[in-house]
Amino acid sequence: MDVPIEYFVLLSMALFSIGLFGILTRRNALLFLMSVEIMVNAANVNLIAFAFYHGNLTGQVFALFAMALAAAEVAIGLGIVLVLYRNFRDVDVTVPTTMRW
Amino acid sequence: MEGLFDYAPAIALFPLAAFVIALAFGPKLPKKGAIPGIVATGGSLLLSLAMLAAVAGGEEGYYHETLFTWAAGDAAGEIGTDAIEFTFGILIDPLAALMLVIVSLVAFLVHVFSLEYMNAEGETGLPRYYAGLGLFTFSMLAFVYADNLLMAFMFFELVGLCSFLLIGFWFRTRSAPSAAKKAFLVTRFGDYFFLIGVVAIAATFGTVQFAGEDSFVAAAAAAIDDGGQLFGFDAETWVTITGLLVLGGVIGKSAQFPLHTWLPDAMEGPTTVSALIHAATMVAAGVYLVARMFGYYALSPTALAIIAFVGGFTALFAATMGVVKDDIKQVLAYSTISQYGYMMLGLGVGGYVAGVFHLMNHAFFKALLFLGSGAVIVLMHHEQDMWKMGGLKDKAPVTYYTFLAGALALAGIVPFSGFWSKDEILYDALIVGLEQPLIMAAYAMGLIAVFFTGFYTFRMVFLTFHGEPRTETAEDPHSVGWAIKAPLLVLGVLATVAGLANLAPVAKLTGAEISFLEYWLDGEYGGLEALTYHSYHETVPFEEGAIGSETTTMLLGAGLSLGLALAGAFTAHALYNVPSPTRHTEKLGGAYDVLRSNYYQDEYQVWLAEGLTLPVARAADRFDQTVIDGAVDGVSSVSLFGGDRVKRIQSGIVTNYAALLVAGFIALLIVLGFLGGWFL
Amino acid sequence: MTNRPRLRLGQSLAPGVLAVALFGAMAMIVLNTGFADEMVGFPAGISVTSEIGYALFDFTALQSAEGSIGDTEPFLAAFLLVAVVLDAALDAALVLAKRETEGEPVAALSSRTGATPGTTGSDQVAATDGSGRRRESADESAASDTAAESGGDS
Repeated sequence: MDVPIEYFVLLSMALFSIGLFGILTRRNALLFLMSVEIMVNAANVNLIAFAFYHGNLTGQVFALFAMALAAAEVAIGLGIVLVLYRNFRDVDVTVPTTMRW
Repeated sequence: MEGLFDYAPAIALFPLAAFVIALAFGPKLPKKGAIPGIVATGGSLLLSLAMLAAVAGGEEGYYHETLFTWAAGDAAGEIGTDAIEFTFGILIDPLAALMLVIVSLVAFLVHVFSLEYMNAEGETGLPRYYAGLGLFTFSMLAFVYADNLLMAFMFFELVGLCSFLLIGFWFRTRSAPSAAKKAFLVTRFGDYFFLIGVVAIAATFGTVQFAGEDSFVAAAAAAIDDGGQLFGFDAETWVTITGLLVLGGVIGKSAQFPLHTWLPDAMEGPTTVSALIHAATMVAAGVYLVARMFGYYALSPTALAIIAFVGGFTALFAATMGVVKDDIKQVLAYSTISQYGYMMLGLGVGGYVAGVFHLMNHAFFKALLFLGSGAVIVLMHHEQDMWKMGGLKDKAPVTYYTFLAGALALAGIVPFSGFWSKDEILYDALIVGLEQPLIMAAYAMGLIAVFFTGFYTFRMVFLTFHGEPRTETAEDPHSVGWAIKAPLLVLGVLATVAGLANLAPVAKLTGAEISFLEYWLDGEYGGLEALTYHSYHETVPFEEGAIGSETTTMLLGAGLSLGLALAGAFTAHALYNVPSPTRHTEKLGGAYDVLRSNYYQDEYQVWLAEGLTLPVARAADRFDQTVIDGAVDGVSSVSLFGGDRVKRIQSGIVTNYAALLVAGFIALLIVLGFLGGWFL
Repeated sequence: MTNRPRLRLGQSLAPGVLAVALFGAMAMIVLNTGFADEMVGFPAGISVTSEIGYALFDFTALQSAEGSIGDTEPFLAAFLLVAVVLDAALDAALVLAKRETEGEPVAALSSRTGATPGTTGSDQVAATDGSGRRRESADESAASDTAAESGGDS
């Protein structure tokens, strides 16, 4: 049962890197959102692992909060995707480049 | 009697009130502001006379009060007090009281004279004129009773500003604004040194008071006695340096060589303003400042010698230029420069009484001459060229006789006032000069100037009043009223009898105690301990010699100067007191051109400005434009260029931003990891 | 159409290198950090879930007193804040999803009667079946891409 903390952290980092790779390669906005979710959950893994490591419940509570905020973020993100689609007839994030200089 | 001194601030505040009234309500007043001015200066005159009486009759014999402290700090001077204070205060000692009377009297008479000279001529802008006169009088009176150097400096500057305003009164002409600017700039050049001097004195002694225990004069005397070092100099050398810095302001204001060039141009102002400037206010301010802090100069023989030499040189220099002028006011302008040269000479050789005496006499007879010339200008319908006058003697007897009195005083003919004071100056210079070659040279120049003074004065009188009328206006002059005649008569009487104030030669011959001014300034009637002629005389480090006995020397000197003055006058008589005089200038040959061009003083000063300062300024400007601006512009160009390049990173594609973020994060991790040893 | 997993170089090489480098750097750091071997853990016999619940609602009185779970801070304020944020997010999502046709707001989830099929298909993404299916298929293909790539990486 006692898995050393390093493995949890490595798992979390692996998740984070996978999510990051998704962000860097995907052009579909929905997949973008999913990749971000993966990264958020990587953080959650860390929170929970360290909560157990320190024997303190705060980390767990924070993980709950992070999930709630992730839900809010997804709601907004989906709204943005909708607008994106309406304006560009596409959900490719490389298309709307007009907001730069 | 003592309570009277509480009203002392009012002496200066009356003209200030007149200034405000003339400025605010002038256009609606019946005489456009003349009446408040006359009332105010009259009030100042009465109060000043009361002060004079109070100083003479009071127990202490002076009044010294700090009215307002506007800055105090604990910055210590090099020596002296450990806390410096900047204050406004009033110091009325015999010298200040005398000067207050002179200034307010001349200002009062000028105001009265203006009633006819300005008002009757239908000038425009009269409220501005009377406001200027009021402010001018205010500044000068406040300057006279200032009790410290900084306050004196502030009002000194205000006097300069007022002269600028009044000289440029006819600002629509081409020459008046230029003359006003010149007067302002040239005196400002001198005042620049004055300011440095004030700062140096304040920094050295921690006080700027003229009088009392904690005055800078006393501190300087103590420092010289201690024999210490001030800012790396001997105490005496440092006193000389600071004294000469202050003297810069004096030379500018009192129109001494080489900063005299503004004064002849200042004739562009109304003649009444010239009278005020030359007799009582602006130009007198310089010499008065030397007299005020004479105790300081008396500590330094070098400074005194320089004052004396500059004075003597200026006296001769200006007198020679006055010989060839055609404009009646120009002649008077050069005579003013010359006479102030005498005062500087007198003060420089330690003749404190003589210098102040001449300052007083000159105030009277020069105000008289200027107002007289103003009367002549009114007579001649604003014609100032003496060659177009002549024969006015019979048509305007009051003007003629008062003018003649002034001219005799100016030329120094016995027994008119100018003789006594000028003779005393020359006598003081002579007895010191017998021991000091430099002073002897200054004395010689002063003596030669006596001849020229007599010559140009009577050339002016003869050309203006004698002979046949040379133009139609001279045959049928405009008439003048009481407002012109009354001031002339008052000043004419004063110019004739003012010499009685100090008949030093007669006193020496007869033994009678009639040198009143000397007693006055010597604290016989009171006065501050350290500010008397007596104590100055002890401080002045010059030896005095004599030719034979003292009386012989005196008689010799007086006879010499009187003879020269008479010689000048008779030369003028021979040349110009004929029915139709000619110019006689061809006899001067090449010297005429030099004199006519004022020894090319203006030319060389313009050359200094255009040939020297302008290229330097231009080079500095180019340096500024290219190097400094170039550096600034370069920075902005580099930023613009760099920004233009760097902004291409902003592709607008989220993925790129994320990639950059991650790359940056990795770099940060690696750097911090190596620095913090996280990888070990 | 099934493709053999292939390592696609080119466009995704640099991101891949970045992600792997980040993982490597962080892993190096983690492995070099001296964590304690023993996890503290939670004592047996105490329900973690109910403790969390009590903490969320500030029911400090109900929390197990004798247990060795470290002091859990009260989170009521944070909880309420999150609730507000979620609500705001919901509203914001609705605002974003709402369309405006000729100045008139149109409900996000209702299809307009009388609209032509062509416009319906393109405009009302969330509501129509057809486009929803298309989106699903797009997601599936993307997911298979991911699978292919990760397969290629490993």
